[in-house]
Amino acid sequence: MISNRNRLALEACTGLSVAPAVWIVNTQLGQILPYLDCQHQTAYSAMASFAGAVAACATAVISWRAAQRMSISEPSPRTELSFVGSMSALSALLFAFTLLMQGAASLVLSGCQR
Amino acid sequence: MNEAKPDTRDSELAPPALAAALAETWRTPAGLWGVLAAVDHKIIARRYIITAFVFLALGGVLALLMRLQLAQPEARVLSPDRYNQIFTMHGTNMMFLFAVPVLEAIGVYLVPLMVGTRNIAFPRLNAFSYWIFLAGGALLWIAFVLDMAPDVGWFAYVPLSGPQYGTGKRADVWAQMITFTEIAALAVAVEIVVTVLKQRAPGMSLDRIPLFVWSMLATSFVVIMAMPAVIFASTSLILDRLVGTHFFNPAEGGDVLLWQHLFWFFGHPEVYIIFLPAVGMVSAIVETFARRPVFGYLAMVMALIATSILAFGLWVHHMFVAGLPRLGQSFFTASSMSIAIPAGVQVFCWLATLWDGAPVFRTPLLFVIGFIVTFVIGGLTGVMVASVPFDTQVHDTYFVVAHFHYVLIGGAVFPLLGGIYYWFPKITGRMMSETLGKWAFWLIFVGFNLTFFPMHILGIAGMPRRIYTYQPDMPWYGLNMFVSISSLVLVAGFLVFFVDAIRSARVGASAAENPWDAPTLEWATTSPPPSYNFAQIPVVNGLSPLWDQPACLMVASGLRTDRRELIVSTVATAKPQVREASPRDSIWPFWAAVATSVMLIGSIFTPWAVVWGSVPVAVALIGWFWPKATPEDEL
Repeated sequence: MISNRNRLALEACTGLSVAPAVWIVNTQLGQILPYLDCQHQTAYSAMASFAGAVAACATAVISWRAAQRMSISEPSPRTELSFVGSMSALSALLFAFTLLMQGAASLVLSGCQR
Repeated sequence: MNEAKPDTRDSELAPPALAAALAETWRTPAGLWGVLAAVDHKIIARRYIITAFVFLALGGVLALLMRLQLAQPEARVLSPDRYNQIFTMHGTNMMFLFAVPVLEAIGVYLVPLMVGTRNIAFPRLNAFSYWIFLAGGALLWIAFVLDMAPDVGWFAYVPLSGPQYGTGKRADVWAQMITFTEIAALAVAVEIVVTVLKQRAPGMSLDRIPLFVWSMLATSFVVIMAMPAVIFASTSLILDRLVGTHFFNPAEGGDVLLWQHLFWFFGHPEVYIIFLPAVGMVSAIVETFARRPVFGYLAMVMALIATSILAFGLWVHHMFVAGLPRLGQSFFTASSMSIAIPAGVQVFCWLATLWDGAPVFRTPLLFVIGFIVTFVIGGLTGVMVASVPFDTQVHDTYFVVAHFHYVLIGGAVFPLLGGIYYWFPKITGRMMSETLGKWAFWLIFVGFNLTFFPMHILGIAGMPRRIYTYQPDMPWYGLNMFVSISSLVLVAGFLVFFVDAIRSARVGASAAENPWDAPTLEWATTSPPPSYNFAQIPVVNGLSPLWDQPACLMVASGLRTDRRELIVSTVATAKPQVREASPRDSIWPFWAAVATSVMLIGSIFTPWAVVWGSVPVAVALIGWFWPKATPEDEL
């Protein structure tokens, strides 16, 4: 059973752990999906990138909310974990932006170009 | 001998007696034994810094030789073969023997002081890392003197470096030198990670860590993640060459492109391994000389950590002409352009700090201003070469040479020189000259820009990299002559810097504990610090401890004085957990490094060196870890 405190700590780190992981997976998909995009004339790469961007934004929200709760927690505010949560949320937004850029690139180029 | 009584605690002694007891417990023996057995992080770091600057000077001489050769068309100063060796030596030397080691060394010196502990974690590993680094550097330069230096470029692409084209032992020297320096870098990275996460002074929670320490922590994680790729690559290359494995031989199922992926998976983060410590130095200098905490601490930490992660998703932008799918390449373009955001955040935070502060333009801050100007130019051309169509045009031209010198010299050497001027009083107890410092800055700043900016134009005019000469009818002669003459201005600046550093170390004005009125803990002890760093471990109540508690710093007590002890604290809040022993001086790291060096160098010539060479390595490690019946071995 995870205590409330540990759950908050995990949530605070979500943006810094999950969002980069999504970006890494999407970068790898960017080497695999172009072949399928070309074969099926679809936009799997773009869909994966934009879905990843949404996921990264969601982790930013989770981390930000955890940070807010940490900063007002009773009896003693956990400033260091609030700091981690805020930093985590900002990082997740950066990775969301990178995923959006990757999605935009997928719309401009076709998977068939060499 | 002033032997301390068993289990004497620091709180039981008056200040003079405490200092005497700690000095006895933590002292490094005099003489040759002390030289070979020292484990004090400050001694090791000083050696690293001095050695790295010697390599900088040697690399600079190589650069001058190249400029002499290229000043005129069809010059005959250097033969084509020697030129190949020289540009390979220059790149390899500057990246592996100067930039990474010197920046890690600054961290080795400062991180324990900044986090308020008495020595770095794993101090014997630290000593081992220096000897291994020195052996790697010696291997490369002795090979150069013997005319068997590598001639395959600093990235040693196969098949040029493989057994088919790379005859003799030149490529093997490159590959094994990589192993030496990467072992050293990995060792230091592990020490810094553990020191930052587990040895911080009580109260130094995550949101109170100095930005330089954050930058070293981020750098160390990048080292740990990136270096194994190049160690694997260089080891595979040696195996291909020595015992006929075919990792990179397409005829036997290997893959040439695998080399590029492995090398650049390390090679691009390498840029940030060099850049991140430098931005940590910039933050420290800006804060002190703007007389206010750095604006946007949270955003700065985010930028450091996000950069260190994003650094691993950019490597393919070095391979845009290798024929990968366009859409796949564009993902790396997207990430490469995105990394400009955290870099921009940092630049704006520094500018905001200076804007809102009361800047004092001493020499360290001048180098920071120079850094901002040159790094922004290098960053902008970085965004340009992140674009596939543009990169395809300027790939392997002098445009790229100009770009990476702006990033590496602008992004790392300017802050490093500023950092040397800033921390020199702490390291030596003496001030450097402001007058000579300003001369050095302006000569280096002007000389650098006059030398490297025209290379952008040369690149756009089509001049390729790594050519030993060019024909008189090419339109590059005038600019090359201008670049070569300008490089003399740059050299003059570095000469002034070296003269200032050597002169000041001998006869410079004495430095007080905190001559710049800086806020971080390294300035809370004497200049230079004693062997034990702090008589009592400081307690931190804020982000700028010396500004928050200007009159008197709170301290923790209860550590033993008769054995080397330090506080181990929790990761997030830095609450003290246990008292932990710190190892004494030992000759075994030196012998372990000698045995490892013999094994690695021998394996260039015969695979049996690994088998027989492992025996002395095992003996040295057993000696290293064998209990010595010192107070530190008590449970």
